[in-house]
Amino acid sequence: MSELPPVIWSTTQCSLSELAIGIDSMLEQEVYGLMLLTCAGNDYQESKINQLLKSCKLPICGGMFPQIIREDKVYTKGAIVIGFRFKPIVKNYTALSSLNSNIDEYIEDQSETIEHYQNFIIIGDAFCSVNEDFIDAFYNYIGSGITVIGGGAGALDFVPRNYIYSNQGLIGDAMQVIAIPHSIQRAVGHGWEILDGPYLVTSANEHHLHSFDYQPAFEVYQKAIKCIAGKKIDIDSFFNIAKYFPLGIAGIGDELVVRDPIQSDGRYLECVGNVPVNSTVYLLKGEQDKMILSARQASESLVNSDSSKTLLIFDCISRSLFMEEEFDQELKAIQQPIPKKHLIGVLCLGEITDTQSGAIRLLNKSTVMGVF
Amino acid sequence: MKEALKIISIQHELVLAIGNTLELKTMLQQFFRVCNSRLELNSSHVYLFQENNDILVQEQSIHKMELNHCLSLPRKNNGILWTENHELNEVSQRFLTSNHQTQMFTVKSNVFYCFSLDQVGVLIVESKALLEENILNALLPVFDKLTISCKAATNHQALITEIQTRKTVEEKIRYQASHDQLTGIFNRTAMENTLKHTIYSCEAQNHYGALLLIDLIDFKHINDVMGHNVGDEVLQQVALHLKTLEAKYTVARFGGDEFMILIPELPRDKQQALAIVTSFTTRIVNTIETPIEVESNTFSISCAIGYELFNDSNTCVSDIIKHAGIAMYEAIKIGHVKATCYQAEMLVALNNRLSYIDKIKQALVNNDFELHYQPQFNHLNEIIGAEALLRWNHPTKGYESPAVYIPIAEESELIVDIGDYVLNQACHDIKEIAKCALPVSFEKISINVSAKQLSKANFVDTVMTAIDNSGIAASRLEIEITESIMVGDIEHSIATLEALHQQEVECAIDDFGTGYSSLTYLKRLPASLLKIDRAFVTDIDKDKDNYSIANMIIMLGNSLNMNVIAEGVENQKELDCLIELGCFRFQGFFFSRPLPFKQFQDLLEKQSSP
Repeated sequence: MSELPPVIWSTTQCSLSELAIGIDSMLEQEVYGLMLLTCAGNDYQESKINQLLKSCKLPICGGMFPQIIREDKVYTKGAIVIGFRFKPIVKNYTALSSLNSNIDEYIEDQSETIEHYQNFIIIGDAFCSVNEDFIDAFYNYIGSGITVIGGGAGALDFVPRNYIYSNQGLIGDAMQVIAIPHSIQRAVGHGWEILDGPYLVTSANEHHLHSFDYQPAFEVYQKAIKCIAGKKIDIDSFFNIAKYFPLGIAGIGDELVVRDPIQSDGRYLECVGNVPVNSTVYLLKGEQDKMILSARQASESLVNSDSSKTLLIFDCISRSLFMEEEFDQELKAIQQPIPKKHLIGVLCLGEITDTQSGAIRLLNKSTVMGVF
Repeated sequence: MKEALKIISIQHELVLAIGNTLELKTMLQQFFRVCNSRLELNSSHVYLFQENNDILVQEQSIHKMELNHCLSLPRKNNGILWTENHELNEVSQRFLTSNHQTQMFTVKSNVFYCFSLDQVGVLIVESKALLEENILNALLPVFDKLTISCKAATNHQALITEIQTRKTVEEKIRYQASHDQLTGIFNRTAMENTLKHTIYSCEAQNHYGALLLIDLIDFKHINDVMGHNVGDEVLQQVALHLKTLEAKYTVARFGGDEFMILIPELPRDKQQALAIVTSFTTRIVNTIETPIEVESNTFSISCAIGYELFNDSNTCVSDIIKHAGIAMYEAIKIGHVKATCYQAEMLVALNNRLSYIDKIKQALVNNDFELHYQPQFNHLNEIIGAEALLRWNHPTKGYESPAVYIPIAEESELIVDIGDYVLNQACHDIKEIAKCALPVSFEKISINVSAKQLSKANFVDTVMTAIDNSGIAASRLEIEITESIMVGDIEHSIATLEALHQQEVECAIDDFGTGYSSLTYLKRLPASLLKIDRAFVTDIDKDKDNYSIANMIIMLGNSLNMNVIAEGVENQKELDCLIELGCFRFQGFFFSRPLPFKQFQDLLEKQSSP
């Protein structure tokens, strides 16, 4: 099989019949697998889309996201169908939250057919409580030296549903790993900067951060934002203010893993992703120019890639919410160094990529992009 | 401040990650996950000093031990397992020989930091970037804690292994004590224990129980002909089939080719219980008689079953087994009845039989046996030999019929002792008659030899010793065997008869035509004489079938270059007919009844007189 660029079909229509047209058009092409990236706000009935998915003869992957990206625009309605010129192997890891401690065994049992692959796209259910455990376990199974891009599927109402496309229909509480037989060049950026800290995480449980420096997490967070940025935050205004002030988990170097606080009950902070106990975190601030610059720098690192290939972007929905109308500027900045490449992608809930150390990580408020 | 907090934070996070699980790999896996993430490591590895996977070596022997890879996280690098990564293995060995507590190795663009885990092994972490000195120093107390936890986990694991090993051994001993090693079913001891409990429970619930004893008929022949390996496999298959008949029944191997089945909770009504057992014995027979395939050979075996019903705790285990055994021997004796229920009369009959065996033994001691000789003649009415026939001159009953005591002696080993008597007495009598002038036509005296005698390893020596001790010519003695020896270890029989033939002791095949003969084996037997059974001689002049059979035996003898003698000749017409067919040797009442030795001697003297 050749390394021809994928066939791309897109629509801004939200009807299922429109998506069916896109899928049918792909069947007439020389493609060996389909990735569906659609908006969660589309008018799709689950029972009907399941019929469509189950009847498709080609391997199907992808998911529903808050928004989709086509060239330098984002859309809240519509769909993109990507026809792969190679045969992808799609592994769906389902019912993850009921596995408890058996996730390692489950991955080992299910992954034999992809264990020799080195390049993967991972589509996760953003609301699966163990998606980070899965990512860790998958990395420990597959090993370092791999390239991964991906993101979390879901909707901005934060209601768990079946958001991932498969040949068995829509699935949830799942992670989808798509093994690609060709190399992916990937880049990542966020552009967030330290505002205050560090704080020692003295109590946390997975996504829930209970205390910093032995003080209730929300109180510390609220106080810091008021003192340093002069903004008042309470439970009602939490989402609208917190989107400007994420947290950054410190490693041993300068790199920070961004964690997006999405809600609070007045005591804890709930983030998109785990925050380990005894880690140190910083309060971050965003400046639009620096964030856009960071995305552009990521894109610049891909200028040497084959111009005929396609750039697939997993950009955090919160960046769009932060930049609002200016978000198109980020996409333009990404496109600028690589003008000949087709830009497609999604605004997602959590981004997935391999880091400098080789490990796969779940990121927040970041831009992950890959050329393939 | 920031730096101090970072160090404290790292130490706390890593120490917390060690946790308190006592499962070594789980603990290390948990620790490595956090370690890789927090220190931005590419991979982490542990090598242990181990004699095996579970037990750490003692301190003093470490220098003799090699490091064994225990765990890598992640498990692969660029698609290749770390266990197969030569660079990592080399780093671990170089560190081991360096005797340092910590050391850094740069391999290509990666940095490997090695840390000694005191007496436990080596920890290696891989990083793309150099780790700062203060971070490395901060890790040392963390790894000390990890070492202690590794020791605790390993000791715990060793303890668990020891307990499990002991449990396994105990279970094995318990299993071996109650199971048959060959077939895996219960053994006799286990069956006796189960039977004991069943007796009590049957009485308590007023139920019947039944014990069945099963014997595989002529199983010994499979061992003799095909070897014990094949025999063992046949037993295994039979055991398996019996075990799968009824899950609730207990099946055991009694020993050799005998099996036992215990049926608990039969109905309270004896007739109903009997009906169930009878029906079950039919299933057993059908199962056992289904041909068994072993090593591309198919074996058809049959069985005899004896059983005893019980519902009374006054009956002891040994009695029930004994009764089932008696019933089983009764079934074997009857032959056509495959299963027999124990009856009290059987015990009486058995006791009578045992008493009769004692009498035979006593007769041997008292010298109550004697040999009579039935002369054999040729067509010229010249005496050519005689068959020695055993007679028991009972002190009170007179002459006892051989038809009664020979089968009983055959069942026990007594036939060998009786055979020895016959051999030695015949040799003695040959010596006696040789003292006088014998008729020119006289050739030899024949004695009957049983299959049991022939199967004895020292049979040739026994015969030759008797001949030597009496000082007779070996050619004067002939042994008569029946076709039945061809069913046993035919190769051994042929070798024995060949050895005797080499010493000039010839062999005759007695009662020819009544048993099972393989012409292939017949050709290989070094026999010089075929004896046509009396059944084919009687009325040979009138009975066309007998005529045809006798004719065929005579022709067979001629073609195999063997002499043929007709037994049971009783009149002139039969004699004429046999001469017409080409048979010129005879034995029977027409010529002479069996004679006591003295009369036989007289007959010889008369014949030898000119």
